[in-house]
Amino acid sequence: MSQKGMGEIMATTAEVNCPTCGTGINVYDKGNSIYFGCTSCNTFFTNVDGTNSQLISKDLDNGHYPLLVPLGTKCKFNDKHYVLVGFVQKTHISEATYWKEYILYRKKQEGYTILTEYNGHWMIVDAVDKNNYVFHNKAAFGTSWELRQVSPVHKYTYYAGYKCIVLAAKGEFDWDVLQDTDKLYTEEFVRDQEMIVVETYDRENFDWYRGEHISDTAIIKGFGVDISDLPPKIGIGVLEPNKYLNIWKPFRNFSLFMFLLVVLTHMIMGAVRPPDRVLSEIYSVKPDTAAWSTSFSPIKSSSFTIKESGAVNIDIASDVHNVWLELPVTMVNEKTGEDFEFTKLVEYYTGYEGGEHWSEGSNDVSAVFSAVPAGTYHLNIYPYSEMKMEYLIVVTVQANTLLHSNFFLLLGIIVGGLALQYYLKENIVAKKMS
Amino acid sequence: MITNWRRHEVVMQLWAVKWYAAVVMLCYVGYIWLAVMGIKLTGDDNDVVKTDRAARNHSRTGNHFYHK
Repeated sequence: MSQKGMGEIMATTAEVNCPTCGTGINVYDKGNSIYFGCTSCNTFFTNVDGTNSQLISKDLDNGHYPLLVPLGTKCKFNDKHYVLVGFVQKTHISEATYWKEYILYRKKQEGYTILTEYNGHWMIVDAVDKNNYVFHNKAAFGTSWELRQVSPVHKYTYYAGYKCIVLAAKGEFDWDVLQDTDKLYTEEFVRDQEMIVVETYDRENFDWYRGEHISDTAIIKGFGVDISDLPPKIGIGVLEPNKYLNIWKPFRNFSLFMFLLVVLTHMIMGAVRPPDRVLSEIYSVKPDTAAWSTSFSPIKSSSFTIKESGAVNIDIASDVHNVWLELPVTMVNEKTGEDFEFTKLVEYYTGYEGGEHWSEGSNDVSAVFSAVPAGTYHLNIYPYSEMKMEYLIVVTVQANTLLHSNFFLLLGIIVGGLALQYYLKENIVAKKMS
Repeated sequence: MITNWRRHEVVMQLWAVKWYAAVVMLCYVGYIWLAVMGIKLTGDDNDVVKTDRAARNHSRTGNHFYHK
């Protein structure tokens, strides 16, 4: 393990000896620390006067749980200087969940600051005033949160409740970390990157803590260790910054702004260049009377003028009923010969079957041509149907047609982006809470 | 002052989503350009650009019609 920067050991003259192996344990919080975990064996003991050590337990497993830095290491977190004075390895009472707690001592500070590490995710914890918090009946009020901070107002969601077992304890403590752990119940409430921890003993809330996420960089700098010394990260920490959540508000606001801007732009475009109906005619589609022919007489429309280049929409309605009519249509520029073509099938069927009326298809078809240059045009229509009968068709040509598909495509991009962002944000939240 | 507008809430929000904002603004400019040019991005019905006209004319059922 590298020891550089802040990672120097603080000297102390006070020391107590392990009653089992005689190892000397440095004491940094003399007068307050009266419980000690041996760094060489599995002994936990108490020493009140500095001379007589009394055994409490020899059942710890201190050798199996190494510390990131040695006890006594000077460190700095959130611009505060500490000394690492204790270490506790805990596990969930019924699940294979393990976490480490580094006890940080700071002169003139009431209580310890605790640095916890779970699956490579770090949190720094300090005691808070429990009078600033109020429990909330989630079921009765139908809210998603269960705890409220009074000032400033914050709402916290229940995350976990558990009892734990201490597997290892090294260094000095001002409380008996092994006492009645089976009666101690811990509840955790989370909000973004912070957590409120409530420890209940015999159904009475007596210790309240506030933890907040601390980055790997802060751990590296604070302890003066190398990145390779850090435990590997597993999964997503419950307090880990959710980058999608952090940018959700500006993302949503910008998307809503653009949504409205696009709608407004589309309306303005419709007003500035309104659709222009340049042809509306009715034709009779008749079978070709030539003896050799199996088709219908072609139709040529009147000439019409498109004043401005742009999209052109052609609508054709027919009186077909239980039959189909194929309509290959060519729009020809009478000056340049440039043509635009489409083929549509008009088919409409109705019937009565199984006691119900049904219908299928439509009497109308439409087609759009893009970027049609200004000029004079006409339509050539080559109808065809297997039923040799007469049909009526109504043809309407509209220039400057509004391209709603482009409009909806852009709205789709905006809404899709917003939906994706929402999914990513909620996915991280779900993973953190699972 | 320069620092003031940088600290403005709207600027900070936009900066936080700058890449998304850039893409959407690009799409928006593209949408306006397409609207002015009258270009339908999807589903243009003009068959001329899709198939060979000679082959299509040959396949028609006996109709031979001069375009001009």
